[in-house]
Amino acid sequence: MAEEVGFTTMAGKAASGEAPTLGIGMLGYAFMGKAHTNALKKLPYTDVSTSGYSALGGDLWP
Amino acid sequence: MYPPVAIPRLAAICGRNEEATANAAKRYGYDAYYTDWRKMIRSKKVDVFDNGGPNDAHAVPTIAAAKAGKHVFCEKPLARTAAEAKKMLDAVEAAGVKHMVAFNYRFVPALVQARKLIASGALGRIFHFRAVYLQEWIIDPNFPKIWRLDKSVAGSGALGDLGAHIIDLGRYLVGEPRSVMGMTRTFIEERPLGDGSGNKGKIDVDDAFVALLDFENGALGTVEASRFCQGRKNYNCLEVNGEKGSIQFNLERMGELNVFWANEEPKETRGFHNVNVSESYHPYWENWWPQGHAIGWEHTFVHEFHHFFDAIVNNKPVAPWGADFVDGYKNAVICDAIVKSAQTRRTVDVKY
Repeated sequence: MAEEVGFTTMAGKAASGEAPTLGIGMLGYAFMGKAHTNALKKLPYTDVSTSGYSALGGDLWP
Repeated sequence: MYPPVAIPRLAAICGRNEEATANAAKRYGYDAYYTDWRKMIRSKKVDVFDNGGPNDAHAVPTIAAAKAGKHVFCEKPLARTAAEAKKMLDAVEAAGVKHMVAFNYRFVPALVQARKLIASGALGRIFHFRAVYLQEWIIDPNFPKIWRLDKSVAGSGALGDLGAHIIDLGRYLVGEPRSVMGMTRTFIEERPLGDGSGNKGKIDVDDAFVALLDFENGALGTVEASRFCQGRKNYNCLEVNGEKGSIQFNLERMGELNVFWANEEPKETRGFHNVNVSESYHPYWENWWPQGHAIGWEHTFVHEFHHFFDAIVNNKPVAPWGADFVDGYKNAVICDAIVKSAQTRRTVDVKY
């Protein structure tokens, strides 16, 4: 089942607004500095409308 | 897939070795580099202080950054001791900034799914939480005494590095432990200092630990961590047993969740199912690739940063899905209790 995201829809979501910028000050460049930076560079691939609490389903937390 | 909740700008990176830090800034794409974190946190270009340094560099810079009005994100364990973690918690609460501890395994899609199943009651009453975190990389007695094996820097050994993760997952999946019993062991008591002198240094942290957790909800827990397990690369493996079913997870196969349902029909094929957690209806997967096109360890960091930025931009709480400094402090209290239990050979109550 992949009605919402599949091979033909990966680029389907267009920009709908401007995202704010957060300046990062990173302490450390080794294992975690590298892992964190890698994630920060990947982050713009995520979509605000479907991530965060809606992905987690916060209402299920007792 | 755009726009994200916030666009991170790599404003600055900081390290003690100037040449290495400058190289990292260039390679990673940071706008600037510092060799003094005090200067970095004064920069108006820094909104978020991200502490990926060793454990002895967590408290002082993070507290100063919070006082400077920066939101703070800190690697785990939050601090070397519960007392140190409490100072950090008090500082971020006084400053009113957002705070998060990088317990990234809370953001593995399969474990988010496990938490959802448990919270929805799918497993019914929880009887057992059973977790191990096993690695193999310091078995050689000639492996040097790096910072992770130095109590003054790390605080503890396998307990704070690996055990902290599975203790956090126990709290995330099952609940609060009210008491613990622990046992620790240091297998290699002296190691080369690694400074070229040929001298050896005494090892004052645990190489491995095991502990029993008595959860408030009546569940019984066991946790074990070691870096002396040949063949185990990053074996963060846990199982939760409830009255209606069981869940089993192994980080070395992190895209899978094994589940068993006691009343599943037909009963002739009842058994553990291996679920490929990669459908668009699984946590976070709508943001990635078509099903079965695996994501990995590094994506847990993407998810946790997204969660933190969502909390900052939209003024949402970091907890309970993410670990905030309250969770980091409670984790340190449990780790300290395990050490105390091992030293005294007694059950120790967990008191926050």
